[in-house]
Amino acid sequence: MAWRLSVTHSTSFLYESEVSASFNEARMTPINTPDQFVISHDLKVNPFSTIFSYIDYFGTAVKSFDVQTPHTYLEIVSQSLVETNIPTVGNLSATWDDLMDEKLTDNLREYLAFTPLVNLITPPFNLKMQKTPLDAIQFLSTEMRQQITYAPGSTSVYSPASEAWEKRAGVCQDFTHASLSILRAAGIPARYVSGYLYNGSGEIGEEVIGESHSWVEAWVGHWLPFDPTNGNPVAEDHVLVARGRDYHDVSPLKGIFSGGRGRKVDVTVSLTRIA
Amino acid sequence: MVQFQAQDEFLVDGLPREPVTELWRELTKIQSNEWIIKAKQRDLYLAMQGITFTLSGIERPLPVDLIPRIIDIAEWKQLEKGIKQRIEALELFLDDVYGKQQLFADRIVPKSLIITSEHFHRSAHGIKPANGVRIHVSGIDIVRDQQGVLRVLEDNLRSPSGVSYVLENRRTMAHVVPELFSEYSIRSVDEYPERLLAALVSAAPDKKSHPNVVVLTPGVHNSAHFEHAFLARRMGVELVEGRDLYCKNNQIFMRTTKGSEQVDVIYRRIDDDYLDPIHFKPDSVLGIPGVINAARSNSVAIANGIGNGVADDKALYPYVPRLIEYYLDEKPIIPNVDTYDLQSSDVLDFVLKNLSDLVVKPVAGSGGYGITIGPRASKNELKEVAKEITQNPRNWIAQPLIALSTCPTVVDDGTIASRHIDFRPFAVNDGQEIWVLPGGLTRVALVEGNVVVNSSQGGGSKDTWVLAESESDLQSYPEVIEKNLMDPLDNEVIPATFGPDVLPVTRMQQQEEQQQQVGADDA
Repeated sequence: MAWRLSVTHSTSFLYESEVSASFNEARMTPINTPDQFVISHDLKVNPFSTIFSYIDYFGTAVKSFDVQTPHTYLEIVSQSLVETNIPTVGNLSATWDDLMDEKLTDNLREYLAFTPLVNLITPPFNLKMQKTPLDAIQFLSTEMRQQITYAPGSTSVYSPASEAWEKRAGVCQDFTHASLSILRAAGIPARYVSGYLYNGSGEIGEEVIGESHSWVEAWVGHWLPFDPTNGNPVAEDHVLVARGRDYHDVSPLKGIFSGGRGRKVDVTVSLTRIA
Repeated sequence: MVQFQAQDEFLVDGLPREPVTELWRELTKIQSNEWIIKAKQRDLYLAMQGITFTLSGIERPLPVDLIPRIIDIAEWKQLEKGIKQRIEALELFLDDVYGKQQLFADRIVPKSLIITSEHFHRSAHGIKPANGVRIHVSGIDIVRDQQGVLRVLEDNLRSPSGVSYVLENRRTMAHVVPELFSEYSIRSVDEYPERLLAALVSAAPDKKSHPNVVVLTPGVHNSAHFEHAFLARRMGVELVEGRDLYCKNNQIFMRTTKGSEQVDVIYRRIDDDYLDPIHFKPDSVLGIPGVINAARSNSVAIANGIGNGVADDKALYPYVPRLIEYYLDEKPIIPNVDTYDLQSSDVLDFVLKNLSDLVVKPVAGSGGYGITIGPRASKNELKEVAKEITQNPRNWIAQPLIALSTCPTVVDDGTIASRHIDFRPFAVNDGQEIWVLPGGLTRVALVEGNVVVNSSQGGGSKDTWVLAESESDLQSYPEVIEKNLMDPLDNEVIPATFGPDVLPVTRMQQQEEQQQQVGADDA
């Protein structure tokens, strides 16, 4: 039974002194997948600016905009109404040998290589000891929460997997990066997924403060999503926005600006289950 | 060491080849003290014209040798056909790589080879130029091997430079050694700027009949700045820097003393990495923030295309003959130089064992930097390079040493000696036709025996004569009067770097939000 979720993602930047120009790209638009249907989406920017849309290399719906009048604040509100389902996953019976196939590794090279954010870490376990890649994912999914403590503020947006790993603390971005690193080291193609998580009671009409969230999709014959941060299955409560090699490919808002000092960022995500 | 005998472009067993006979007769009349005087006249002329090239921070005249190189009609026709074919295939390749990527599904080139290229730009994915052209200007380097076969040494599809020297060399020769031209009908090189402008005009979005074209330069400190200014002047268009342009609502504008003007086509001579701080180096002040998305929405055309470097990556080079067969269903007209693909471990072993006979090049290098010539390298140098290759084979290619052909050249003491040369013809694609400039830059290694001819390695150049076949392409004497010369005072609009509405040029800062930085703590 599908859920219908309303998502409001507001980001505001406050600057102590005037910003003369700012150019930004937002990746805040949920995409259509076999398990998810976007009923409506709207992005508003204040100060008002014209929005240009395109689909990027990874299939993400990007909204780009610039503000070229002096401003001391910038507000972006993304509103989406999305129908979500429990993901249907295909055959997950790939063996370790299957993952060595040259055609497969060439084709999925981007999801097997390390990146500055998904860098090498050395876990105290070996995924390849597991019987199948699927077993390895199930093992990793529980193990991550044994290894890393959820602690907002312990890392920054630029922290690589290794930093969270050394601190044994981080947020979902870090859980995701560390999982990707361990999976890729074991030869399991894995990609970063960015989206929203509804964590309310499920009561219709009740607005809950949610979060901008991230999780993992790993290739074990088909793409299998899992959520290393909380260990819950990826289901109707997950809204998918973007996929990529690491956070850098999917960051919800990326931009440059000139002038302006003393930036203060405020982000709120609220979700309401409509049906 | 491999033994080889280079071909000479002029002489066979000491006798001139057929098209060179009259020229050789003229050349041998000139005494060495006369050559020394002519060389001085040349240097004076170049200095007066301000034709310089910056080598390792020092500006100096680009030495043009006073003996031209001649390409006969039949050979030129083959070259022309081969270059057109190669560019056509590489255009289709780029369109595929930044579009459907059918070639990976058909397993023509390993995907990992492309996506690990430092010039493969995901942000160029989905950009479809209005007239389909990405390789507006190319410079495909050609060498002649010891069997006399012309081969492609490398492709240059980003901002190949040197065409200004082709035009200036012809002028210089006409001033200093006019007597050499008397017996020959030589095709003119002077129409290049018009051809380039026509190609840029036809690249404009919406088929505008009078689009606003600009030449974008990184500035006066760039080694090819002379050429940027030269081309802008000869085309009669503005020469601008990044700070003269800005992007608003996905359109590009130029700041001028009379307000803002929309720009339709940017002939950019700055690298991708500096073009747009939103997508590339965020601290670049050379580019224009927003220009890539403006190109994506086809409100401006960028020449050459963004991400072209993936097609002239030296690691792709061995696959180009395959690409020609795949996209055009034709056999390559100009062969490659045999190249070892170091990604295969057998080949890698072979190359490491035979380094002293081979040439190895870094795939990302240009200008002759980083090349190791096996037979000339010391044991230590070979050891060093073997170590680097083993660490990252993707970054290197290896080729057998080719004895580049030689050509008689005037050396310092006024005598004529034989020196190695190569050739860079320039091609311009306007979307209807790929036009190859009849001429090109022949580069000459001025040091005896040296086979690296890049101007950045202290090489010089030669005027290159393509012989005329019919009356229609005949122009026996170069035109010396500059046309299209703009009087800056007549000019209606001048780019205003410091106009009233100019934003201060400051380095941009990045802003980014962290995921899950607010919200529930009970994950």
